[in-house]
Order: sequence, then structure tokens, then C-alpha cells
Amino acid sequence: MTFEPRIATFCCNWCGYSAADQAGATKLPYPTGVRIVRLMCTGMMDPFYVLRAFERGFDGVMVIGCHPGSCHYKSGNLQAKEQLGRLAGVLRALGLGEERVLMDAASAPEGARFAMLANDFVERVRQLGPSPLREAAP
Amino acid sequence: MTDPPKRKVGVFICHCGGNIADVVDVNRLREYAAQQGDVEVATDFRFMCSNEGKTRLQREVKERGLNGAVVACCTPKLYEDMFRETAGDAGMNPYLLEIANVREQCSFVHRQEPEKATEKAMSLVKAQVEKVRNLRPLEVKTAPIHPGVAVVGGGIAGIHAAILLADLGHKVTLIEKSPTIGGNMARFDKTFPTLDCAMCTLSPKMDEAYNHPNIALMTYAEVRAAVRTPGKFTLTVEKKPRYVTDACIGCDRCTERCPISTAKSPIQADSEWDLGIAKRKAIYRPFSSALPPIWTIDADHCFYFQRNKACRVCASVCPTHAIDFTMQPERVSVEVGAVVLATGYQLFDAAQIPQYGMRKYPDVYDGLQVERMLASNGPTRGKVVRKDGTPPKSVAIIHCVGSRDRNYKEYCSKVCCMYSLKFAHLIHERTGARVYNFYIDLRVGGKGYEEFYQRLAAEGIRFVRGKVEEVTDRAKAPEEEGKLVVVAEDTLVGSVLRVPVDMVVLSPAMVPSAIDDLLASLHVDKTPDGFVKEYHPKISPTETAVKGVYVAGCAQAPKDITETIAQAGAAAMSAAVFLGSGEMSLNPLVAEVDPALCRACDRCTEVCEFDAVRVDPDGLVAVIDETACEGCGKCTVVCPTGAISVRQFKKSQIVAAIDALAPGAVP
Amino acid sequence: MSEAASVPAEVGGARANPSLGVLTAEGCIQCNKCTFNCPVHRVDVLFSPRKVILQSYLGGADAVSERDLWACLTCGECQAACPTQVPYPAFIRAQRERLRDEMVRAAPCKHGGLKDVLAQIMAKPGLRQDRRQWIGDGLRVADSGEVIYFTGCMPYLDGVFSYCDSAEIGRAAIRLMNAAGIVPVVANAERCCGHDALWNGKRETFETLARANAEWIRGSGAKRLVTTCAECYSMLKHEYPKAIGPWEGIEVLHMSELIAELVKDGRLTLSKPVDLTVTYQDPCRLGRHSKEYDAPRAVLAAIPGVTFVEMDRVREASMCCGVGAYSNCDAQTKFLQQDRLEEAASKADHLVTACPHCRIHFSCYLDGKPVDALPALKIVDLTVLAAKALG
Repeated sequence: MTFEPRIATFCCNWCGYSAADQAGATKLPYPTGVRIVRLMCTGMMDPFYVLRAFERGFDGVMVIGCHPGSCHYKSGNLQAKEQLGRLAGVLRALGLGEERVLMDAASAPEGARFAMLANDFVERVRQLGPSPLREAAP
Repeated sequence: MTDPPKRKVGVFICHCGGNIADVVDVNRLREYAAQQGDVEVATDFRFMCSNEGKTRLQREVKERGLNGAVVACCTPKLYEDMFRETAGDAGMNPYLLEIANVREQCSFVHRQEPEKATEKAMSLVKAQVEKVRNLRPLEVKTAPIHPGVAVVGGGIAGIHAAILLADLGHKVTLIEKSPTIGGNMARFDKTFPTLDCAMCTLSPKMDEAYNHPNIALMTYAEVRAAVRTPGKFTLTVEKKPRYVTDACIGCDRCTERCPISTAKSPIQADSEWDLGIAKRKAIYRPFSSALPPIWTIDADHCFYFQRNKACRVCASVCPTHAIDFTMQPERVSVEVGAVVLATGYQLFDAAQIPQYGMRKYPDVYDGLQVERMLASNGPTRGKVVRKDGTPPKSVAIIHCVGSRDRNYKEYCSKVCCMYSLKFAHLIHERTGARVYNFYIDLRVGGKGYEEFYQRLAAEGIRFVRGKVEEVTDRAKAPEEEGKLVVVAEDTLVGSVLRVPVDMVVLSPAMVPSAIDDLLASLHVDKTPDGFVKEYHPKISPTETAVKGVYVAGCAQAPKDITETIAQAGAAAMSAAVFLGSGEMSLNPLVAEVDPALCRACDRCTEVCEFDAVRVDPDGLVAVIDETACEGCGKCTVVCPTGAISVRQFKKSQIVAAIDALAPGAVP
Repeated sequence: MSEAASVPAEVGGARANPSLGVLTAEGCIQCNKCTFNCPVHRVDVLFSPRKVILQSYLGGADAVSERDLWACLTCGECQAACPTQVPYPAFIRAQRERLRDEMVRAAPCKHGGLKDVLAQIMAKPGLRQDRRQWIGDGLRVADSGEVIYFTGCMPYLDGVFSYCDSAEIGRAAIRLMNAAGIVPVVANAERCCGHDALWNGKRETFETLARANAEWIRGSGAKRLVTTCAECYSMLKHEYPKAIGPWEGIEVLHMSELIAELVKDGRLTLSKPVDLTVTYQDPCRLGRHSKEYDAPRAVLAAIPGVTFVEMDRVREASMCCGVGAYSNCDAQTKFLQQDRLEEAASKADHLVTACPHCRIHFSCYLDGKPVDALPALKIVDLTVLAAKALG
């Protein structure tokens, strides 16, 4: 049985979350392992959530916000990028690797883009294999 | 610290007809929900958003004294506010209700995997139950709504909405970026299907808007930025200088004497109003019934500005001394309670499809250029002529230029078939030319439209069903010499045609006016086709997701004048209802500070983009300005002690959701 | 959770009173000396260790308020002053452990909870770390050898705290050891020492980490375990033997002890002058908890060019840096840090720390806005300072 990655997906209310809704409205499928947590802004993204997700057994983390320059709150997505950037060394040292974390953008109308990002990332994580921290069966 | 009161949560699962229930096993979901911690009741129903659905929710809230609710249904972007209000009316604090998105983010995207979709729905519901268990009731404050309204765009949609709102007693600011109101409709000659004169229908409304005591008109002005505060939008409007005051009496002497565009002068100005098929002088009026009836100087072509004040002829002949070269751009602040976006459309630039010859061959025109040619107040006074002044003997009209095409615009612009047929009729009538309409489908759904089309067929207009491959001037036969050859396959007959014509008319897609900056500052989204995103495409086509911002006309989607007027009326009504309510509730989902944890370290103030937090130097504690705070949460990440948090999105609440969605959380 | 059933007989010196069914601090005579010496009490008059002991005696563990439970720095000033040596920090630790279930929601790990979740991750069996990325060129480490350099959270600290460079402490330590002919083992199998987990009541996590660490350390054949962190030191030296049995044939050293020994034995020469006026912060975990006051001072004396000026509150009376186990930092903490840094700044322009966490806490305070004027003060780690003196 192929392993079904479980992805903690943090979406900002204005872009990422709406893009996921748009993917739904246009019925574009992506794997069920993608689990979305709604934040108002990716600027709310605390690196703690990424590590907590891995500690709880997620195989990958996606953060989907507004395109650079289009943040609903001006610069929240820039802060998110910076905060997640600081995690890169931590993820490498933990043996999880930076490839298990993706930050990208999909604006509200970009349902197709959201579905593409979700499908591609799940596939990428599938290739990486289950997280070494996972205790529950994939 | 006191313990929070015992949490009693209700879970309400919607079938959404079959949208959810056909994929997700709602019975299993309900049973699972009932087992979650603090859940008093779990029920399901076909349509939670219906009157009966809401009544059921309210009944459970009242009878069980619920202090928490999860509705598993469609996206919260649709009905979170409504369900919160429903619960609030039944006596529960509205902010103890959360939505589990089991439709757009579950049943809709996992239709082929019902088993897994059900398991995911279970974890989504669990996540929201865990979040609700960690929520606290929030107080909702209100703010008065400013009674004024801004209508952005002075075309038929904006004019109609402005008049209605002004008649209702609201102070309306009508902002238009060109020097005159009227919009694209003022460019038209006749309107389909009745072939009434466009200006004859439009003029009275333009006059009414111009003279209305409650409408303040700002033309040659653009909205540069918008700031939203509770109950109010503050628009920064940049007024471009006309260099002509309202002492102008419209005598035209200045235009007669303006030296540019003469044989000697090398500077030529293209007329924007005529979309490049005619020239104008540096001082001009777009068309004869332009309103306001004040001339405008185009500084980029005027010799006073371009040649170091060399020419002041207009000022010297003006009988009322209305010329003022010292005018400066002016930025004014306009405060309103509601904004109606009526910014209209422009045409897709057909030159993006080079094989159709736009701006390559002289006698290829697009729809709006042809309107100017046909119009009695246009550069040719309604005569259909080629660039060399002779009337065409044959004309090709190409439908769907850039439309219904994944390479350009995927959507159908709805009105182009009708105006293409209108052109066919008018051109044939005025010139006797042989007219060919090259189409893919003929979309003529509207009152009187099919009948209009049938009459045309009887007039001898030739219809060719087939997408045009190219328009070329390379002749392959003697009859093609000196002509534009339209190459297309007649798909009904099955042969490739080469049709030599004197003039080609392109009917391009409608694209929305460029208002990205304005939309961004209002926080209004666009749909994938680039038009303004309406709140709901079926049931709410004039509202947007931003309370107080409405949309009307082609800014929302391509449509004809009939529908534009109807939508503008609806938008005006929605805006009036909103303004009439007098006050709006403030979003409590903003930051708050726990003074026992605040180190007064200033990190939050450094990252806040909205000046919403400052450190009180006496109390040594961070203080939030709730009306400025937007709730983005940047501060919560940099705060070392967790003193600052955003309501409804506290770390403990988010972590509860993460934990519930994790593998193994749902057995 | 029945109190009597789950009360352990002895937790780190805090003994239970089974007939009352409460865990209290035996020996307390309610004299209030602890409170008078408590740094938190100085900035928050409502905080009193004596009162907490009385409340727990009368009302059980649940009578201790959340604030009292978490505001304690566990610095041990109270115990040092107490005439009957009541182990108050251990008592608080025991209470935190007892209230663990509620605490999981309330247990506040500051700085976003990152350090806490990192420890949780390091307790996972499937973990395969890559812990050497901070080491850099020119430094020699080994996979096996006599000396293990226990780095603790070093690979992760700079990802969490941007106020100072913690990895430079590790690099300095390796440089010093290399200069003395020691090629230390830096192992990927290493986990967090479990200090915060233990002090914040997560005994299970602590024991999992301790077992995992003990397994690879014992299996490595090494004889000495050296650390630059006072917290790791207190864990390895005192708590690990209690939890998982004594280290047989393995000596636990703080870096300051190793440097002092190497300099004394002539194996390490600190010859390059470092012209600074410094004062020294005794970390709670190295000082009061471990009674090691001399080795760091010997190291400072061995660095040429250093002028060392003692603060007034030193050694057993040293004042905590303001934060213990990353869980107590709140609105009052800044006053403690201002107080201590003012004292340091009145003696020197450099404050030497022997624990990366003291350094982080002081640096965090200086990175934000101080509550009052503060003369310029730099925080520098002892190992880093010593490495500067290498020729």
C-alpha cells in the first residue's frame, strides 16, 4: 500500500484559504491527506506550528499565502517567509529536511494553482517517505 | 485563574442537498462528532442554511444552553457571519461558533474517495470542536456608518447608481477618470436591438447626474488609495489638472486656434475618446455633449508646457479667462460609508493576435473604433469610410477575437455577437457593402435579440461559421489585389474560404478596466477571469466580500446595457440598505494584550504595519488600538512571552486544531 | 486523579506527608527568610515561597495558583537562605509534575513554545539528526573517543533566538579542546538533556530523553562528558544518575572545569591578551545547584589582559538571570533583568556568562527596550572569551 502523506496546510484567510475554496468550487481534486488550518494571515505563522505539526506526526507542512506584494495586511507574508527561513537550519539538523516544508502563494481566484501546489507537494513528500517522527500508521 | 465554564458544544452537520452527503457519510460523521469531548449534541440536516436549519440550530442552543457550536458545511467565507448571527439571536455569543469546511475543502475535492473524505471530515470537525473548546466569548462593539457614498466610474452603471442613491438623500461623490462622464455607452451610435440612439438615452441621465444637488462630480480624477476604518472609507482621490476652470462657457474658440495638429506642427495627439482613429488638439473636449462642459488641456502635447511656455493662444482668445496654466494635481480626501465600483470595461487589445492585422493594416478596426465611426458625433460624422476616405464595398466582421480561447480570454463576453450583428446591419445600411460575419456560435439570448438576428439574415448579411485563421494583404488571386483577405474555414460546408474585403472589423473580448491598485487597497478580490469578485455569483452579484463595497456593470462581468442598469439599481439598493442601518458591528477578531505577560520590549510595535500597538511608557505595557488593528497576527509571532494574541486565533486554539488534524487523532 | 494515590514518597528532597495526602516541603518553619531572599518577591510583593508552602500544606497541590507555580525561577536563592534547607525548587518541580495534565494546556513555554516542542521531537524514537552543521571548517571532531562534547540544544538555539550567536560557544569549545590535543565526539545520537522538561513537570519526556542519551553515551566507551551549558551540566551530573543510574567510569565536567584543568596541567596555553574589564554571572545551575563557583573564576584568571571585577551578589548569593526553564518570563521579569544588568554594568562593560541560556536571556532583554537607562554592556560567553586567548 503506498504511503499517504499527511500534510498540515496553513492558509491565510484572504488568499490561500480562498484559493482552496476555489479549487473546491471548480471540483479540482487533491489528496485527502491535505489538512487545512485557517489563519487570518501567514504573518500569524509561528515556526512553532511547523514543529508541532511534525511532532504530531505530519509528514509535511505547506504554508499558502498571498503573492509577494499582495498581502492583505501589507507584509504578513514577508514575515512568514523570514520566520520559516530561520527554521531551515533547524529542520536540517532534526533530520527532517527543508523539503518537507513549502511556502508558496495562491491568490483567491487561483483554485487551479492551489490544487496543483497540493498535488505536487503531496507527491514530493511521498517520494521523501513518511516522516521519521511518525508514530501513527500512514 | 478561574476555570472557564463547562463547555457545551453542539455540532450541526449539513448535507448541503447532496453536495456534502453524496461523498461524506454524514451519519458516521455525526456519530463521531457526538463522541468528542464536551459535545452535548450532534445532529445533521439537509440544508443548515435554510430557515428550518437555522431554527434547529437555535432550538438546540436555547434548549441545551449551548456555549459552543460547530457547523460542518460549506466554506466559512459564505455563511460564517450568518450562522454566528443566528446563534447570537438564540442567546449564544456569536464568536463561540466555528465552521468546519467539509464542502469546498472536502466533499468537493475528494469525490472519488468517499471513505477517506469521511475520515477527513471527521478530523476537520474534531479540529473545530477542539478549537471551540478553547474559545472565549467576545464582545462586539459597533461604529456609526458614514452616510456618504462614493461611486467610482461615471459610465451608465455609475450614473444610474449615483442618481438612485442621490434621490434617496445620500451625498454621492461620483469619481470618473476621464474628463467626461458617460463611459463607453457615450461612444456608441445605436444600441441593440431597437437601434435607439445611444446618446439620446444616455444624455438625460448624464444631465441628471451632472445637475443633481446630492451628487458631487469629480472628473479627470482617480482614486489612488483607500483606507478602511470602522464605518468609513477614506479615499485619496487625485484630481488631474485640466488647466481650464469652470468659467469655461464652451465657445470652442480655444480649440479653433490651438496650433497643434496642423500641417506645420509635428506634434499630433490621438483622441482617446475616438480610440485612435482621429486626432485632437492639445485643448479639447472629448465629444460635443461631454459633461462637465469644460475643456481640458493635455499637457503632454500642449506647446505651453512642452515648449517652455511658448504658446498661450487659448488663454488669449478665451472670453471668460478660464485658462489657468498654474493648476496643480490635487489630492483630496473623500470620506464615505460605502463604495460602488462601476469602473466598466475596455476592449481586449486585438493586436495581441497579430494574425488579425490590428494596427498592422490601416483598415482593421475594433468594436469601439467602429462605434466612433458610426456615431453621428464621431470623427466621420457617421460615415463608414476607409482610411483613404472611400466607403468600403465589402466588410468582414470577425466575432470572438480573443474570446473563448485559452490562449487569451477563456470566457465569452456575451455582448459581442449582438454588437457584431448591429454593425453588420448599420454598415450595410450606410454603404450597401457586402458584409460577412465570421462566427463560432451566435449568442443572441435577450429580449428581442433573436428577432433582431432573424431580420439580419433577411437583409443578405452573409454568415460564415468558422474561426478566422488570418487577415492578410498578400494576394493569391487577381481579385485579392489591394484588399484584405480573410482566411477562414466554413465549418458548415467544410471548405477553406479566402474572402477579399475592403475593411475588417474585429469584435474583441471585454476586459475589466485596470483597477488593481484600487481593489488591493479596498481588499476586494478578483475572479479568475480578472473581473471584480462578487460575494456570490448567483444570489449576491452586487455585493463584494468587503462590507460596504458594491459592484455594478461590466466591472463585475461582461453584460449589455439592460443588465447594467438592472445591476446598478441593485447595487444602489444594497448600498442604501447598508448605509440606512446607521451602524455596523466592529470586528472583534483583533489583537489583545495580557498585561501580566507583557515585557514592554517593543517587538510588537516594530512589526505592526497599522500603528495599532504602542507601549505605554508609564504602565510599561503594550496597548492595542482596536479600531486600527487588522488582526494579522504578526505581533503574536515576535512576542517573546505570548502576551499578545489575536482573538479567535490564539496559539492554544490553533494548536488544538493542528493536533486534531494529525495522523492518529481520528481512530 | 486522587491525591493520596499519586503522591510519590520523595521527589528530589520534597517529602510527602502520606497521612495528609499532600506533597509539601517538610522542614519548613514558616520563617519567611526565603521570601526575603527571593528575587521574584522583590519585583512582585505578592509572590512568596513561604505562602506557597503553607497553601499546599493546607489545601493540597491544587491550592497553589498558576501564577505561583510558574513565576518561580527555580534559582534556589530561597533554599540557600533557608535555615532548614527546604528544597523549594524541587518542591515546585514536584508540584508542576503533579499538575501535569492541566499544565499541558497552561504550561507556558516562551518564545513561541519552540524550545519545548524541540525537546518533544528529540524524544521521538524515529529521530535521525544531523547535528554537526554548526561546526564549520578547521575544527576537528570525531565519531568516537575519550571525550564527548555534549552540545544539548546548540544546533537549534540560533534558529529560535536571534539575539546572540550560540553556535560560536560550541565552535570556541572545540577550538580550545583541539588546541589541547583533544578531538571531542560530537554525536548525532545526542538528544536534548531534558532540563526544561524536568523542571516544567514533564517527567516522562525527561526520562525518555535521559534514557536515549544514556544509551549512546554508555555505549560509546567515552570516559569524559563535557558541556558548555550549565543546565546540561546539572542534568548530566546530578539528575541523570538519580533517574537512570550512576555513570560508571564516566566523569561529567562543565567546560570551565575542563579549561581550568587543562591550563593547570599545561595542556592548554592561553597566551593572547584579551584586554577587557569583565564581571561574571554565576549561573544558577552551575552555581547554587551544582556548587561550582571556582572553575569559571580560575579560567578568567588564566586569560591574560582580563581585568575581573566581582559583582556584589555573587557565588551562592548570585542573582538569577531572570528566567528559569523558559517558563516564567512575564511582565515582572524585565525588572529582575534590569536590576542585575545595572549591577553588572556598574562593575564592567562586559558580562561573562557560563551558560548559553543566561546569555540568551540577558541578550533578549537588551534586544528589546530596557525599562530604564542602562550603560553599554556586552554579554560574552566564558568559553568564547577563553578561545580568544588562544595564540
